[in-house]
Amino acid sequence: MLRLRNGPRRTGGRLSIRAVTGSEVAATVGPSANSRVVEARNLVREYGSAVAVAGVDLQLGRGEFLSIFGPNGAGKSSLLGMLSGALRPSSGTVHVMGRTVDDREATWRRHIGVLSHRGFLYGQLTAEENLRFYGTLYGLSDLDKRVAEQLRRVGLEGRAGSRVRALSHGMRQRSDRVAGWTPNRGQGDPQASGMMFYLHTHRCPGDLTLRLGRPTARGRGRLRAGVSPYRRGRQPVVEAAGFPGLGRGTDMTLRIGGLARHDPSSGGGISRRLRCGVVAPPEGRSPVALPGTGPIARVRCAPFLR
Amino acid sequence: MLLFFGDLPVTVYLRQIWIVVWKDAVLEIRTRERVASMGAFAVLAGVLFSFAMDTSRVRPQDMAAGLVWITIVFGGLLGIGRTFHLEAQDDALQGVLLSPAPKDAIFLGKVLANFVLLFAISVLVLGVFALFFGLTLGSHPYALVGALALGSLGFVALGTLFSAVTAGTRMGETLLPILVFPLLLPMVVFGAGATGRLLADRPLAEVTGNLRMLGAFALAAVAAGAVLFRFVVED
Repeated sequence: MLRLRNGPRRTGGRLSIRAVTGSEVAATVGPSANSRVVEARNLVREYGSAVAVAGVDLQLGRGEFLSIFGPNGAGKSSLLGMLSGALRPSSGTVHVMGRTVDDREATWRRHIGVLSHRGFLYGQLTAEENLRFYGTLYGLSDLDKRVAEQLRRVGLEGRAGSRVRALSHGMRQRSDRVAGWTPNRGQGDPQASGMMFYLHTHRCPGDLTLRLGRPTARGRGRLRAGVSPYRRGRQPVVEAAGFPGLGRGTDMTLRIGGLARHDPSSGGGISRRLRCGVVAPPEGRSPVALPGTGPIARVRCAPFLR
Repeated sequence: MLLFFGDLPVTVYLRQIWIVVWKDAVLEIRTRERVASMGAFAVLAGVLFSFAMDTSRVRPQDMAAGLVWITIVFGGLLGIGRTFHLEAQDDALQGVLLSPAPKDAIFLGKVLANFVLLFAISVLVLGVFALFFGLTLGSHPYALVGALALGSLGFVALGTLFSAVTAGTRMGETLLPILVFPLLLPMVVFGAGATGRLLADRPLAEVTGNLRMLGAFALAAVAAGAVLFRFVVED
């Protein structure tokens, strides 16, 4: 059900996202038409004459993961901004949990947690105060218990009274994570609710480590990886859905290799859909019988030209 | 019976306003960033004006009222203009705007927090001018404080709204006075008029019209800000 598709090329501006797959991933774990968490239709964002996002269609179900890569200015932030409601689309619609993303009504925002690379915490407030603040904005009840629980969960109960700016980078990230997950806590365990995660980076790492938060899923999953056709094959796109047997908090290393080359003569855009992506277990290990730590799967992108 | 504001229970809505006030108050107490600059400006302006004016030729209460309000406007803008500064520093504004809290609740919380700050500074300005210009507060000091409160409320409502407008701009601090000062004209006219008469110990009946106009200005500014804030902060 996980599906991401971009629209026809518009102005040829450098900002347009071109690097998305049009193929459907047959996720055997769960997601059906009525379990869509996020759905975007013909999403466009323009900045003056520059088109940052050119008609993206996207559907994500419960427990699905999507990674978006692209160089600076590719439109990643614009896309995520529109999906999270921070940015108003020039045209197109976004639905979250079946509700239209609309600034006149904000119920859908309770279903979204956003983690930014910089976090949204106030450096001058303590970790506990930050969680109380965001918890109240999200309309959560029983905050005393929830805040204590969450701080304990990430091992920060001893530093609850420390100002965030005085925390180490790692501790701050843990606080960010709790704050980002706060809304989901109102709906039960975020892992159980299977909300998606976006991994959002402008870099194309050789190795990419994802920490998966979904509980063990049965069945066979698919993972696809590909490369943007619009800039000389340096932007892999990774789709992941229904990984088999992944335990909560398991690390998975995706090794992006053999990047494709761009063939300008073939036009670009959706016709250049990605078709590489081979899930391979690391040497001596099966991707199904997973250990708790270490690389458990390796993705090697096969070179492709069309 | 559970009352609702939009799709939110009123208690949740009020809690969201309160938590923004609480957060801004805590941040201000810890950083003292705005209160220090506004307070210092108020005191220094009072001292400088007292030396600059020849009180042997003009009665202090005739000119003090206008100077009090001009000092409040300039000093207030120092602090109100930095309303979203801490948020921008920590990237927290994005987090707040992504929350389901209604934008008007966030705006009203910011306005209330700014109001407490500016009202305290306004009272300080009045005290400083009373001290250096040898003013007496007349027989209706509560009306004087009421005029300051109403003027401050209208001011912070406009200041908060336009501070959000200019927060993301390169020339924000220069732009803010240019945008806000023309809109503050009613506040200065009616505020200075009421203050001058009250300092001159005129009957209360002479200032009720000005106080009503200040109240109407404050109400209109708060209402307009609450409605327009979401258009300002949503990109």
